[in-house]
Amino acid sequence: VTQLPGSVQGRGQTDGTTSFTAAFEAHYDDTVGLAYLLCGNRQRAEDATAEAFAKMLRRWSRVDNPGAYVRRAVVNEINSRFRRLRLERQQDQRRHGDDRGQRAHDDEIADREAVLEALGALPRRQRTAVVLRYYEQMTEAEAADVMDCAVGTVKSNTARGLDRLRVLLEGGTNHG
Amino acid sequence: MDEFEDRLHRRLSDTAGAPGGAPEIGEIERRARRQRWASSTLGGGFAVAVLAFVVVMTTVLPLERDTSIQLDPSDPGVADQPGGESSADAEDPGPGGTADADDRDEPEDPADEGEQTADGSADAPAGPCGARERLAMVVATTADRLEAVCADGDVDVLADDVAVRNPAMAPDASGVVYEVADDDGSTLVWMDLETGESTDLGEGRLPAFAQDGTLAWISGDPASPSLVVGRPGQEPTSEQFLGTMVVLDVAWDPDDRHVHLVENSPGGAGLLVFDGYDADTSPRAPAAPDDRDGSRFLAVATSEESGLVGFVLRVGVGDGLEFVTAQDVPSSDTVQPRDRIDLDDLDLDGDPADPSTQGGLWAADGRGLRSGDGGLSRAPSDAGRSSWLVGDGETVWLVPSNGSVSAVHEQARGAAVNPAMVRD
Repeated sequence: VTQLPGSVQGRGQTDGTTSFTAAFEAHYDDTVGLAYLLCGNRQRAEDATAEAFAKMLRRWSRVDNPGAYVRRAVVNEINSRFRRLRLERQQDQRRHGDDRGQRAHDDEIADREAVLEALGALPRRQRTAVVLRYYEQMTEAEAADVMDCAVGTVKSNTARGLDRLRVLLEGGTNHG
Repeated sequence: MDEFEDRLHRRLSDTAGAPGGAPEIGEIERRARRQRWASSTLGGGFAVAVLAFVVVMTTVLPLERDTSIQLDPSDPGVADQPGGESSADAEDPGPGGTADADDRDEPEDPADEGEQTADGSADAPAGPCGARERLAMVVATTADRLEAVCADGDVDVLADDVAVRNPAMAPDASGVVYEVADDDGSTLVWMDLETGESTDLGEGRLPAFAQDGTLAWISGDPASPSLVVGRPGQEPTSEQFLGTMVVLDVAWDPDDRHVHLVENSPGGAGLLVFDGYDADTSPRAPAAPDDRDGSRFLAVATSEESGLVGFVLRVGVGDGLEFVTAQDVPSSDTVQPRDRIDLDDLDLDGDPADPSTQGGLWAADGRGLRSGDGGLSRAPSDAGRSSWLVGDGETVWLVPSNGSVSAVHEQARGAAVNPAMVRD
């Protein structure tokens, strides 16, 4: 990893020494995971994550909380592209349909595909709320901040999303 | 956490998995530089265009207030903004999105939330929801976003990080007009929903489309406003000065000739009904039903299909809110209620961004939108039910004429239903 110029030393970090590089290394993996769960495509998740970090780099001098910033930026990035990505994901799923049988023996892969498929079946806000709460393990208030909505909206979307996932992933009954 | 939630956390973590490897920091720097370049190019071009427009208007038409709407793409107000952002005021899309001193030495970036691809090229906008007929409504949120709510419940962001409010959709759903507020007032912006191009229409607020495509709006200094009527791309057909009136809301009557204007000036009439095509005719001022001291009009909405106008009223001093529907208001001395609904029983549990889960809720403004498990769809016109979207500045309320009242968006500064949405 090449080092950034000294000009990208963080301003808001308490000792003023945290570099963008350190923030990048600390948050990249989790951010890609978050983006992947939201959009269902690894390459696009990595692309959206790179865009989010680039945005943060532009504003680095006034970023106080790199992790929170980049999570919110990547949620915005994914959501602003959501329509196009969703259509592309559907096309991808159709294209990949033929080889699913060959891979069905791999329970782990099958389970991941099931999770992605179930997430993809949720409306955007439900998916975002569930991923932020149960992957990022954010509090409702933190998720509300990322989603730019009320805590009550996070609660209702999470509850509906969980109910739906319960049915889709485990064949449970809808509690709603 | 119950067992399912525990398992879900593990499965999500397993699915997210380990990335294939982070890009080099140099790649992030290149992307950041490209964002800066896009910012400089687009932002600078827009600023020059605005400056040229201001110079032309102040030198050629120094005495006339410009109230014309120009939708010609060659107009200097047109900015090519793939992501649908409409204002040079676009700000940081990320957390803490408030502008500070650090922003001032850096051009703003209208393309920040655009459809920029990995190679830096801009996608041709496909329009929200994939097809015009699948767009259910447009909502201006208090989170400074203009959102398209699609028939299946998805939301596409049309514009981000601009203080948007009061969207109005063209009858053919070809575009939406909305307000962008700043410290100096409000500007009306037209967004072409097919191309994503935005056009600055000049100062103005409270846009309202008639079914024939004529637009009414409030123009001018808030201290001396005018009611302007015109067709997009043409000179205004009518302008009526309103003195020092404080205008709260504007809507066309279902007759597509009269314009209802709700105002809140001290000692004012509350509701005025103008002839939209004859500035020489004095407006009528129908009284509130069962007029009591302190009763006042707060908002107005129109249902073309049912031929009704709906008003939000504060009934008496200290009393609650009421929604009243009426017919033939332009020829009435008093608003004669057809339906009256107490708004104090509002259900605040509505979830606008996810209407597909609202199971059977009728969801819009008299044009027959409804919501069910399959998403939003238009109801048959003979369903005999009508409802409106009305806003109080923070929430958009669904107000059916014969059903329970619900909030359809808790954080909205206005919403508009797509009149061209396909019926079931």
